[in-house]
Amino acid sequence: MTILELRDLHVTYKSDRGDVPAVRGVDLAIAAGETVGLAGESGCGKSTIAGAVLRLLPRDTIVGGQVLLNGDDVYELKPGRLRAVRWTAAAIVFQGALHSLNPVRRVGEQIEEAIVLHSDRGDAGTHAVRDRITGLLERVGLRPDLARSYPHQMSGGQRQRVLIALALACEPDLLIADEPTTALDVMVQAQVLELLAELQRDRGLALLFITHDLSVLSTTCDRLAVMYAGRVVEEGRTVDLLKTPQHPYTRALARAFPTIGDPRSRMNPSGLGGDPPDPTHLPSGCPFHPRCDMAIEACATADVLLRPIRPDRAAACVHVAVSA
Amino acid sequence: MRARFVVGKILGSLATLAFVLAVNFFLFRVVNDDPTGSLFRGRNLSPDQIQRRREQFNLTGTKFEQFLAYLRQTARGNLGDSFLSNRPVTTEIMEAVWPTLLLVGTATVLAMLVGIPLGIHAGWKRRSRFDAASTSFSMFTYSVPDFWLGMILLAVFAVGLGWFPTGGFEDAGSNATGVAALLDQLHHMALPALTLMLAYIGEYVIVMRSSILDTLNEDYLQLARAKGLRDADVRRRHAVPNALLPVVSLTALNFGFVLSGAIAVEAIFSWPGLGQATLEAIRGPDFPMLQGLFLVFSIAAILANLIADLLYAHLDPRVGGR
Repeated sequence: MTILELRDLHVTYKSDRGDVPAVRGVDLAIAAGETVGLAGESGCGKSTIAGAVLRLLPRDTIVGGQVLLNGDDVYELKPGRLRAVRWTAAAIVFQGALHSLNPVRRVGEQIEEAIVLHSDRGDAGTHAVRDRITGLLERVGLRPDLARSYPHQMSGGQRQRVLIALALACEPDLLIADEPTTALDVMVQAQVLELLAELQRDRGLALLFITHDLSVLSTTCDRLAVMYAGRVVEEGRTVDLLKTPQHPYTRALARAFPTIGDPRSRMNPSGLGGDPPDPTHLPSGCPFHPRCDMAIEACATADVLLRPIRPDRAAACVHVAVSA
Repeated sequence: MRARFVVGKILGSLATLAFVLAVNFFLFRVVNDDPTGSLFRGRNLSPDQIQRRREQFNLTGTKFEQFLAYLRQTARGNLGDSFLSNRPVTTEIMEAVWPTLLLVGTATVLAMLVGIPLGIHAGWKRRSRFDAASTSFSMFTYSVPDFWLGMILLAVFAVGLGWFPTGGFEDAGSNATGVAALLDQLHHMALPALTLMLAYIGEYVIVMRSSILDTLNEDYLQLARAKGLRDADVRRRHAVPNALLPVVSLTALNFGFVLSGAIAVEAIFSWPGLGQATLEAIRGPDFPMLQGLFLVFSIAAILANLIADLLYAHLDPRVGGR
């Protein structure tokens, strides 16, 4: 069953310097029990997609296309219905756990608030709600008495676990994890990834995993979508995509991470030169062509959209042979 | 809040107080070594009388002996006698404290009660018409001098329309008691309190508004919204508790100026408070009185600082060693 479906999603921010097209036509579907990774450099529109799913973007933002959550178009919902859908149909593990938790309220209260808001019987302070908080904290591997702590009293890993517990509070169908491990050290990062994978298995959650770190995605995701300048430039099954990247950008991203056990790649990690393009002044043609080592003349004029290569595989590049 | 934090803050306040006591003593000795001369300008006093005066005002002996005498006196709650009235400074101050506390306290509380909600609303709905109106109103009242505002109000509502008395604390020769006396005092207080409230309100609106603006982009507000909270609840439960923190400090600190803050306005409305007393003491010059007033003002400011620190630590779990 498809939980989330994006249909030709466009998001344009209003700013003093003019319109900023952050997402320019993204199609994406996530089924129950599936983990999809969304990768790309900062500024490519990944986090905008997370905000767009629950209609959290600034009020003057222009959103085109459709966001279907369990079949309902989120942008057609009445305010009351939208509030009911938030956190129950989809919940977000925000990036930056320190800033995502309210500094002056105990973490237990912040979890309780979500539970009470979305249940008709549980009132604040009742045994049922308290047991639920205890269960959630234990589920993410935290001592239940940490519910009485303030965010600043916890370690980064603990805070990240609290955010995950908070996201699970209303048993959402879809969990959007926006850079959930970026600020954590490698050991804690591995623990959090393991936890997310477990939860996903146990509950049949749909998981949208957003990160710039391809190595993180490779171990957790069934499918990957690589974004560049507001569009998906390549998508496919994780193993397939990482083994035979078709888009030059994907190739460059994959090359940027050294392969463990291969001293040559460690001694010579080849990064990608240049900066991501300014969304207000995108290059003509393929937006990646100024940084692309395979660019040909046509790339400066012809903008190539995502084209299917074979079942479950698509890329947006002139060099890619289109399947029949 | 840890006990160590509280004790530390209290000790810090006591140290400040000790410093203030010393400055307070030497400041006036620097201004005028022996005020008896200027005090009895030209009047014929026998050397004997002058000597008695000197003893009464603690002007005999070396500077250091005088300082020790001053400390002993002050520790016993004796601030000396006023040059002008010959009465104890403590009595003079006690009489003037209540009118000032009533006037400035009322104005401060009203300014908070009106200004903070205005600021919250303006910040939350920034760039709305409400925001534009409330911010320009605040900027105007904040930048206008309080004595000018006072004189305009006095001219319009007391002199022109005659709705309010032009000054004083209560009707002269009135022997009303109870509710009648209270109503009379409120009637007298209306204009000066309104003046001060208008002078104070802008600060609360502006600080509260900018504090709300600071929280608007916080991730925890985004998360609160994502949870499905109503806009009003996001504001009430998540934005305001954080945004109030700087305003709490401001408020507590402002209470430190309650006693000393209304000199100009008290003068315009002939309000018999500490401001008037200060003005008269300066004209004198009445050094013991000034010294006593400065000490009282300083203690109020130190106390307000201490309360601001403790209150902040109570409200913000990140402060205070918890």
